[in-house]
Formats: sequence, C-alpha cells, structure tokens
Amino acid sequence: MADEAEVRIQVTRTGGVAGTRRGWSVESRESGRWEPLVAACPWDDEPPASGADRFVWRIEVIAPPPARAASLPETAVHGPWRELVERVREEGEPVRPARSVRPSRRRRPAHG
Amino acid sequence: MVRSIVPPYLLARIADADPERFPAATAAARRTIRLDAPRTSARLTLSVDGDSLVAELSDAPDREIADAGGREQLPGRIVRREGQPASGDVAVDEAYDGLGATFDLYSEVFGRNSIDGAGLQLRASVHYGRLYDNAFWDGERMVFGDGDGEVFGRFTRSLSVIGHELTHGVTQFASGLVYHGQSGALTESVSDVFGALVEQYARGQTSEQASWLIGEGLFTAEVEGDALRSMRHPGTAYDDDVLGRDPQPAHLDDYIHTDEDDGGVHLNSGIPNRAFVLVADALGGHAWERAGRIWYDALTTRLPADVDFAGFALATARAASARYGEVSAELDAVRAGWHGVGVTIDGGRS
Repeated sequence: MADEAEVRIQVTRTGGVAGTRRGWSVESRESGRWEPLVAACPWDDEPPASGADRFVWRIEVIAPPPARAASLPETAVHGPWRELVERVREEGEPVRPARSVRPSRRRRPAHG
Repeated sequence: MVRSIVPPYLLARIADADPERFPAATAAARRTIRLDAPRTSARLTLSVDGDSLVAELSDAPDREIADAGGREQLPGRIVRREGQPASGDVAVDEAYDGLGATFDLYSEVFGRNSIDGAGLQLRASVHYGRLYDNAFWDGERMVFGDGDGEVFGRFTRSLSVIGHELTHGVTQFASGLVYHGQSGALTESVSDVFGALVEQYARGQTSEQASWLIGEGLFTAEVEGDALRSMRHPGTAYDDDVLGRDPQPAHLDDYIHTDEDDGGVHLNSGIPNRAFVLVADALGGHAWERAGRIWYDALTTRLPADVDFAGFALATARAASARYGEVSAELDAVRAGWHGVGVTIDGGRS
C-alpha cells in the first residue's frame, strides 16, 4: 500500500527526429515539495498544435491521488510544466527501455 | 566552367536582354527577380562552345543561418548569409552546406526551386537550446540542437537529417499532410526518402551502394547503433541500453498503434520507407532518377491531407503509370514494393 505522503511521477518523451523513447520516474516521500509543482500545472488546458519532429511529452502523476496525466507537445512544456519535467529528470531515475538480450559493449551508462 | 552568384543589377540586365537571342537566360532572370525581390540569387554557368561564350542562368539557393546561442528563442543572431564565406563554426557551416546540397537535389533533379517551388529563402538556426537532442522544422525554418554529448552529438552532422528537415518544408507546401497516424508516418517517410536521396545524390551513390541509413554519425561512440533509422531494414538501426531496440516495423502486419509520438509517426514510417527501398533496388542505378521521381510526382499531386498508406501507394502507382506507362518496369516495381510491405495498391490488404 502506498502511504499517503508518497509521490510517484513519471515523464516520457517520444518523437523528435530520432523517434526515440526516453522516460524518467521519481518516487519521493516529500509530498510537500512536489504537490505545489503538480498543482501549478494546467492539467485541463487543450494542448496547442506542434511542428514536425517536435518532442511529445507524457506527464503522469500516479500518486498522490487523484491520478493525473497530460500529453503535450514540447512547445507547451514551459512554465510550471517545464519546472515539473526538469525536476523529475533531475531527481528521478531513467526508465530503461526494452532491448534485445545481447551482451553490452557500453563502457558506462549514459545519463540524460 | 565558372559558377558564380549573380548580383541583382546583372540579373536585371539579363532580364532586359533580347529574348529571341537568349530565351532561357532572360526567362530565368525575370523569374528570379519576380520571385525573390529584393534579395535575389541565381547561378550563372559560363562555358565555351566553339567560338561562342554560352551563359546559362539557373536557380540558386538563398540561405540564411542563425545562431540561437544555446537559447530556445528563434531565430537567434544571423551569422551567415548566401555567398558569405565559411564562418568557422562547424554547425553553421554544416547547415549551410547541407541546405545547399538539399537545394541542389530538388532543383537539379526535380526542377523545384526551393521548398515552395518559388525560390523561398532557406533558413536554419543552430545551437538551439542546451544539450538539446533534436532537430525540427517549425513551419518556417530548420532548427538544430547540439545534442547532449552522451547519446547524441550535433544534429547538423548528418546530411540525411538536414535533407529530412527541409523536406518537411516541401511536404508542407506540396501537400500539407496531417502530422498524425498514417498520413503523419507518410510525412516522416517522405522526409527520410528525400533526406537519403540528398545524401546519395551528393555522393553519387547507386541504390545498391547506399547505406539507406538516416542520421548516420549522430550517435556518440557510447551508443550501440549505426543511425536513427534503417530504411532498408527498419528495426535494426540500434540496440542500446539507454535507447532500447530500434522499434520500427518493416511490414504493415506490425503497424504500431500508439498515442505517443503523434501516433507513432517516427515508428510506422519504417513501412513506407522499406517500400521505397524495394522499388529503388528493383529499378537499380541512382534511386533519385526513377524511384525518387515517382515519389516526388506522388507527393506533388494534391494528396488528401489524411491520406493513408494505401492512398499514397495508389498515388505512386498513378505517377509511375503517367510517367513511364501502364506497362512498364517502373509500375511493376512500385506494385511489388508496396506488396512487399503488405500494402496493396487497390486500397485493401494484400
């Protein structure tokens, strides 16, 4: 059971000319730090149209309730949205995508 | 043979010359002046034929490169205009050269003067944002990030990506396809097709010699992958810890339904991408000559904004038939190419 103070937020970036999928997820017990950021975001606004090869962001608040989600073109990710996304990327962990089972030759993990 | 940029006063003089004696030159000069005023450029080619000097005037690009200086404000400071020497900033100069190579393909192969067909200025901004992992078309200009340095390097490094971005401009003027679902995936595919052709034309490669990779050289050495996409073998461009496995399908059976990425536009583009390579391989030689011509004709025939794969396939078959005949190797190749990725020309599934 999630305790009441627990915060879980996930942001996912898709699209861009590369069409790659990158995700970041944060879990925190400091709801007092996160809730004002989440509350400041205009969750019900209609997102604007975007240009070709722009990123598409999916922002999901899984906890605390109520669960909220928004899909936004990167042109809409400014102000409180931008603050929320940047903080999740800074304080959260990357969500690793699926890959084939094959030995890695990567020398060190990349961040981003 | 001398190539030079013609100054406006000379264009005016050529336009006023005797049209009986110099029909091509006067027409080209008048067209250039009409479309591009007050800044005009054209390419003057001088050659000697026997004892006469032959002057040919052809379309030339009008490029303008800006430096966004790491900010997300566009356009930034203009740092290189048409005809100016290399700036010494590699991203600026790669963008300038890449825009020129893209202009050349459209102008010399398809007879299209810039992205709107009427000499529109080609604008790009480089050094956009901080560690920005993308390049995009904003409806007026191409914009390139420097990459984060860990997964991506600078996005101007790939000529196919520069051609890809500029082709978004061509599609916008030629068809205005909806950037979502199948019409969005076709928009992406068309950008990959002509991005690849820009690279092949610049290198003089045949279909067989070409890598058919989009964005080769953009990844850092840390990434396990060759490029952003493989047109010949969609789904095989990378397989990496951070990026995961290249998710592109190569057949309609594997079409991805998703809300992400504007409805999977960069994923499902693998299907029409492979159809194009199958056509190019079947015809052989330089892909821009026949396969590219067919795709260009299809793109510029008033497609419905929400055209799907089958509708675009039909447009390519009509284009092949109109240019090469109803009984032709070209039409056969187009039909076989689409069949190879599960799309039938008649609109249904194969």
